[in-house]
Amino acid sequence: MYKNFTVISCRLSSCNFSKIALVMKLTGIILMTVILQVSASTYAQKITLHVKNAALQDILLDIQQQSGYDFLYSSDLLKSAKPITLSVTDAAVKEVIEECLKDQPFSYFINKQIVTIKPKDRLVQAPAVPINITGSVTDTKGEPLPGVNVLEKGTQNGTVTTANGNYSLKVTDANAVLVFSFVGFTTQEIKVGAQTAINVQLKETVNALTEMVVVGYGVQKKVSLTGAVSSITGAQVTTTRNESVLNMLTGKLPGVRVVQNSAEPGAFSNSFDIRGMGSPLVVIDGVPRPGIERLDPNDIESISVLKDASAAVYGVQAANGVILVTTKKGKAGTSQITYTVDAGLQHQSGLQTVLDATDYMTLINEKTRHNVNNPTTPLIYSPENFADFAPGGSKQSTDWYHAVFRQTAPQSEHNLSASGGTDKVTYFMSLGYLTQQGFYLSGASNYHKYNMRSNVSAQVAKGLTADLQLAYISDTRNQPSTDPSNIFGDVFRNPPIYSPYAGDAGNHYSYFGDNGVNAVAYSDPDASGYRTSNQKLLQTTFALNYNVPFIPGLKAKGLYSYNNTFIDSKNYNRQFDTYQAKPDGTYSIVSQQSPTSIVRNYSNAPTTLLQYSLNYVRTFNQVHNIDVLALYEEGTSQGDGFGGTRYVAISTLDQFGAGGNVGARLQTPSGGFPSSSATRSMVGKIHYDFKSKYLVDLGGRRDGSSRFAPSNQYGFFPAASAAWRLSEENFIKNAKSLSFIDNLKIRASYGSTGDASALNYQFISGYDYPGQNGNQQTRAQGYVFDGNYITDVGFRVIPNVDITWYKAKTLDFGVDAEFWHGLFGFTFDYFNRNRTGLLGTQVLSVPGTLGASLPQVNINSDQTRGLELELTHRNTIGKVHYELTGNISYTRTKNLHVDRAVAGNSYDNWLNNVNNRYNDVWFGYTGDGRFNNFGDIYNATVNYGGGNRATLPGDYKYLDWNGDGTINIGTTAGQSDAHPVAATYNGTNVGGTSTANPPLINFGLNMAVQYASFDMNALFQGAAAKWIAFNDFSLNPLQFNGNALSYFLDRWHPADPNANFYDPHTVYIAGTHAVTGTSPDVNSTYNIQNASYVRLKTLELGYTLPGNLTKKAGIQRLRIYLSGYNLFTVTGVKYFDPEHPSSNYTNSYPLSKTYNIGANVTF
Amino acid sequence: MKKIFYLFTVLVILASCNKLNIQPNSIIQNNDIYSTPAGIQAYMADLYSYLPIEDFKYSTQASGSEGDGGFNQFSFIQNLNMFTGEEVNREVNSEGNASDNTRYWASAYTLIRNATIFINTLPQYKSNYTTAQVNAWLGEARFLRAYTYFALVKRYGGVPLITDVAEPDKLQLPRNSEQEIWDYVCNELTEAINLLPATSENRGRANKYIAAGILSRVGLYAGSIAKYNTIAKADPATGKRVLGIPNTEAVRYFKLSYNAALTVASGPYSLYRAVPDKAQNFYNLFFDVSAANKEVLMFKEYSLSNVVHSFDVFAIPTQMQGPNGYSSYMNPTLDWVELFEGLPRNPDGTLKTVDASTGKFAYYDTPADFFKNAEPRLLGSVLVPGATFKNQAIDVRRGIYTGDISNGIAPFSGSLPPYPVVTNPYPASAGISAATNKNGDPAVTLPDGSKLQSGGASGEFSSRDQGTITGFHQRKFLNESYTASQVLINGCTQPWVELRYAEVELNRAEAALELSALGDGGADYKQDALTMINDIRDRAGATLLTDVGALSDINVVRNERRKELGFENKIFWDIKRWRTADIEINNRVWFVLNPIYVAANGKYIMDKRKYEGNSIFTFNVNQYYEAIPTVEIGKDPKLIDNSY
Repeated sequence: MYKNFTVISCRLSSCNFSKIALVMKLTGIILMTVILQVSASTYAQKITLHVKNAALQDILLDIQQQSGYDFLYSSDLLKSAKPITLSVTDAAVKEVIEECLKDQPFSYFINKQIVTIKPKDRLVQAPAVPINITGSVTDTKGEPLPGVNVLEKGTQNGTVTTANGNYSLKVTDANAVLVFSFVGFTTQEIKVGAQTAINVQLKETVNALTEMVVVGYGVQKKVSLTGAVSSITGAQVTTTRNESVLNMLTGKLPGVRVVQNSAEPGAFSNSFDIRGMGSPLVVIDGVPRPGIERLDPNDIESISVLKDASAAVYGVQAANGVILVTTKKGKAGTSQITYTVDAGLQHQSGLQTVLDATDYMTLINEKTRHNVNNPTTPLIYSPENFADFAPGGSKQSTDWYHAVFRQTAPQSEHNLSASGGTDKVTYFMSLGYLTQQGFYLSGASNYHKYNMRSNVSAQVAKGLTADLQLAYISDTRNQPSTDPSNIFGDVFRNPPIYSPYAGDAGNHYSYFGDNGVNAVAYSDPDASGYRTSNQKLLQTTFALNYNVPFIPGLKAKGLYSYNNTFIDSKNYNRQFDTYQAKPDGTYSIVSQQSPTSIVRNYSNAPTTLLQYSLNYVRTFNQVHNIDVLALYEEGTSQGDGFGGTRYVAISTLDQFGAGGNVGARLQTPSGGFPSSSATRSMVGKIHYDFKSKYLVDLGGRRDGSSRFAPSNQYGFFPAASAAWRLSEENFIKNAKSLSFIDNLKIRASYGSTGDASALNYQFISGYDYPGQNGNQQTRAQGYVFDGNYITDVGFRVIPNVDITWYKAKTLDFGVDAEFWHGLFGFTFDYFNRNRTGLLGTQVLSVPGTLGASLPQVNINSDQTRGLELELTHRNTIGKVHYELTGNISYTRTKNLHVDRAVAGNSYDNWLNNVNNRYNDVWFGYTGDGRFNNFGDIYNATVNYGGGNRATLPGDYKYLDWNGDGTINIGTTAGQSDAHPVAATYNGTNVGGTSTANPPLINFGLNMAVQYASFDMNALFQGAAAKWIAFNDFSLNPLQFNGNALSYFLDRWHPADPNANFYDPHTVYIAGTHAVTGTSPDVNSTYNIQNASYVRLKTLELGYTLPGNLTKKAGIQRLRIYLSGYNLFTVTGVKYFDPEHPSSNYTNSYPLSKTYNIGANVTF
Repeated sequence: MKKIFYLFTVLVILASCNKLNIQPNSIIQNNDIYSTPAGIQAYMADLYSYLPIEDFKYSTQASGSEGDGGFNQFSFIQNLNMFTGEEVNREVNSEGNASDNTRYWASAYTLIRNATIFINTLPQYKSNYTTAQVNAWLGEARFLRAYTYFALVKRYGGVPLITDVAEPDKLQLPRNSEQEIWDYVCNELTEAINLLPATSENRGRANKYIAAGILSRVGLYAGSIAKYNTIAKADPATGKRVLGIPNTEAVRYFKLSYNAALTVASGPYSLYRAVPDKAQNFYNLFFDVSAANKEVLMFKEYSLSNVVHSFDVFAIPTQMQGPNGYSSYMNPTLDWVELFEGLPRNPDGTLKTVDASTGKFAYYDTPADFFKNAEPRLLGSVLVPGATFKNQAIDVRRGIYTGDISNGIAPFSGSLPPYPVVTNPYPASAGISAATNKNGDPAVTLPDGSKLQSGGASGEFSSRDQGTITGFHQRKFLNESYTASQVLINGCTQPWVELRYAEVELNRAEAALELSALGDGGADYKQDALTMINDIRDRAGATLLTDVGALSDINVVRNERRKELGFENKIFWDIKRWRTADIEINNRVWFVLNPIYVAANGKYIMDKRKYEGNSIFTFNVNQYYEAIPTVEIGKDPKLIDNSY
């Protein structure tokens, strides 16, 4: 809705007529000044007016404010108006207007709510031989533009376009030039020539001065913002084509970090945060809701990001910032149907292939011989084995990679929307469908999503509108029965010397013991079953908006929202047989996944939100602008779920109800304890500015939540911010040398927010039932009595009644500037967020003899600081209009206090005391070159273990950091030679491997170019100051008894495979990797790689077909485009995509490169 | 206006004015627990789940971060039997310091605290129950608490004795003396015996006789410490002897043990004799949870999807391995197998693999033939090479002898002694095609033209990633009813036997002999011990002892324990309390038995030699007491360590 504010609104700003007239004169455009108010807000239909000898202009303003009617006129024209004396009460709008204009020296007409005032006599002075021109005016998206001034240049002959954007004008002759102008759009002149039909497309002027942005509980002019708020429009979102909205934001919003972890259909696996602050609150259409990633991007009007104290109005949910998503609404006076279609082809990005049989056997033999205690141990694979796999040999090597995966997978998306409205009702309705296929050859992985939305707003009584927003997203995700990490792991593990199928048995999957399970079988749902998950999101809002009579500017609002997320999943683990050939030619059968099990889970999570607010917006004395909001909000959220497992005897039946249970294997229900929580909050906001020059915002929220102990239920989160627009000061305005400055603002904000997401009822005594901290594999949540499993009670931590949310205090300094009408602009921010009261346990100080778990206490603190810079450049050269937007942000978090026991010694303190240290310091070992030959080894001054007895040429040397002559390499930091070697270590080890935080530096550069009917959009996006480490298959060849990734073939090895590896006369061939069997330490600089990268995230080329061509087919506008995602990447990371998650570096579903073709059609 | 008013009124009505005091549904209060037997059962389920039973999921290698300190672990292939000479596996090398790594502490005090809370709280709700019920539950909680202190004292000696609910700020406690802890455990168990009913409320829960059976175990342990321990350490701050018990206490503890065993004997228990086949009978006793099994006093049971173990996955012979892989990790040593009767022996008692007349290897039609006269209890405990399990012969073969046999096969060079330190034990001259690994094993063409892999399907191989390394597999506890596809990680549910009557009889016999040796005249101890041991030997299918004269050596009853209780995680504690571990396991490399197929005649020879992986096992004197977790010493300055 706010988008309609892109023209000056008298209601909201300090505009005054004469100033605007002046501005317009300066632009050199002669006549028409438009004061247009097309807010969809509704107004009284009755006018009360008591004036005496008042200027018509003032009266029209009054009428406009009371009624919402808009007036189009030239200010010169009104100079001739007679003063008016009038006294009416609750009179009809039209009557009052007619009364005011009836004896004036001009004529007028009223179309819908637009009153156009024209000179009286000009209309009759039409040219003697006129040419009648007709046509339509649209914006760049093909949407009709009503109210556009169409003027014959150098005359006062003109008209305005109708609601459909059509116009008709008689001009003097063929030499006439038509001038099309509209506030917010670039004026265009077209020579009539021989044409009688002239269709015009006006380009929006992106003008920071008039742009509105959505902020917490309201909208605000961008220039009057005092906080750090970034925003993009829906159109900017959809320039990137991807299945997830989050991936479409990458690189576009300064300070928003998005990392894609997987392109698996339906996984929506992203890490994303604002300024490195953790998981942000997402508010969709004013209500905190899940599912931003699943939204149809075509439904999105805009996305705003509150990065500083401006988020404080969201209180205890806002410590990590807030993302506000607004969906589209209809526009009064328009009606259009838009169809968007997009088809794409995904390619795997950066996944590695595996060795063939010969190379595999070679590496196995090398690893066997790489044994200092038995350097002449017999080779496992004999020349006969090699001969079998040689060309023409008896056996065929298996390429497991290509046996399981396909190289490309299609995806497509459709969206059909209808929007428009009348002065009473506006609507936006859409239906979308998205389908995405995965990379398994079996087709086991795919995703389907349907989404529907209806945003309807109706004026139901005088001054009262009712809004109903309904959104429904239903999706289905299909997968093989086992995780992709298992299948990818098995592809890397299954030896190429085995066929996927045993012997000649064809459909008999082979079994090969300790070398992983058959990846072909496990990726095939016909063999191993499948997993399917349905998620349904229902998001509804009903709202009433009321313009309180008698108090201009006061609005009351009531809103009720109901949302629910239903998840319904099924996991069918089908039993199937694998076959292992025995020497005698028969097969032994090993059943997999025995017995067949079917797991069903169902859950729903309803939430409600109720809101009342009063909002008062007024300008006093044309210089004091105030906007005050008082809001009460209460919400509830519930969660309930139920799941069961059933083991069925007939493996081909994939239904939960199929057959009885197998043996003693009963279904195991889980869940069934509904959770419930509630909140009550009060929000207050005051905005004041003086002439848009000095701006102040004060806000705060009192938040109450059932998640806290009764004594601690409420918290208050205030914020204040202020800005000074230097560009409004006379010393800039009046200085000719500074006339290039369009906008220059400095701003500062400070506020308090909180976060309670980690709290888990630690203030309540009692017992968990059922117990929480067990599993079948270790200590269970129960015990078996009489052969029956009895669920236990769980002992809770010792209650901490003082536990509360942590508090974050956010400081932000910023500068916004725009020069030379957009030729150069920038926004710069410095921010600092201090968090106190982070949860920690004092486990290191209380003896274990307590016999109970300690509660968390609010004890730790940290600090996140960073910088953001956004640069913009807009220009038009000839017919080429282009825009460049670049942003870069840096953020890093430092621990301030982390509770710990006093270190036993200074070394322990240095190593483990993380107080006042960045939270991402990566301890490891620095590489010190390689052993190039046996001479190097014999002359080594550092002992790498065993007196370097087992060391071979090609092995890794490490820096002896403490200089003691020995190196102890270990997989965990803490060895004596470990020292900081990199950053972005996130403090956890997964499977012995350090995992990494998102990059410290993120940047994006967006280029949009328009030339005639062609448009191009390119987004370069990247990251720096990010390190990753390989593990498992990517670090070690032949990991887990398995195969090796192809790149390990480039390794040190003896020229003669039969040589004694430890014989100093053995001739070695050098390679990138050490002799098979030696891998670098996981936390060494050999393995930690700088994962900085730049990639062409998006490239889109569009062409809009000529309107006169498409109109014949009844199509207003038709644009076709070619688009690509992740097209190319420049990075130092070897072998893998740099965005691939570090924690599970190899065997996870890869990212994709996507090539798309699509069209937007507007009817 | 009215319309507007109504519309807003509706919205206001929607507002329920949320109450913020919402208790989570899944958090329940004392009243929910103590008012019904089901609530009490749920409470008990938690206590039992923490009970330090050294079952299939007990590992000596628990990391310090895991709260259960060795219990309830997934990775239990390094069980206690790997450190006693009962078994070896290819991944446990030269690590005698098994007891140093569990760091069992905090979760013991968790159980102690929660049992104490129960004991303190139940009386407030006693009006809901009969006195007998209340007593039974109080006795049960005291049993569980005492059992837990036993788990602490046998590891650490004296520990802080906490008998009430501890507060976080009053916890810097010194250690009590070792004797105080033993006395506390004995007294509490005695109280529990008085309070508990004769039959368990549910199978798996304590009763009078279970408490008495554990007391017989505890008394024997304490008595042994008093008699054999020489380590003494006192806390200088308190003067208490935190390590060791005065010798003078030995008789008292042995008597407690003996009398407790008599109490058990007064109950309905007897040795299991359900199946005529004595080997099968011995095997079955660990699986029979029916009332017919009068031997097992206390099972710990499992339930699929809820509480499971993975024993079979790791113990299963390689040829029967399940879908998850793994196999043959539990390999009984020849040293342990040799304890049993019925094996071919030389006159000096050593194992005989050669023909006495020729001095050349004796031939056997199958490897199992070597064991055809073996004591049934051995065959119920161990899968010997060639034994039949799940209707398959366990295919174990170290290699194929391809040489000439016209003069017989002489013992191979490098045979006993000395032992080589190489991975392939047979020199080329031996004429053996030795098995290398499961996948790339050389096949030998036999005289009849057929081909045979050098190694058996279940080993042994020179690459130590598959197959048995000793020639043997554990049969005790290995579930023969599982099909190959059921041999799954987290898929095993056969019960663990925590306490059975055979142990009580052995406790009684040992306590009797110790009392006799200490000159106690309370009973005809030697005759009683003879009765007990012969009861066990009769059930085992072993020859009976003729008279008390055979009991002059304490090792007779001790070896009976080793044979009877092998693989049950008990012998480790026995050799510790006997203080013999440092002598027994001093630089030991255990023996294996390699069956070798003779190509020329299709028969087997059996070659005894040391484990070719050459893992050397050692147990140091300073390992009799486990180190107090350093993290606990760091948190409690009054806690002194266990260095001595």
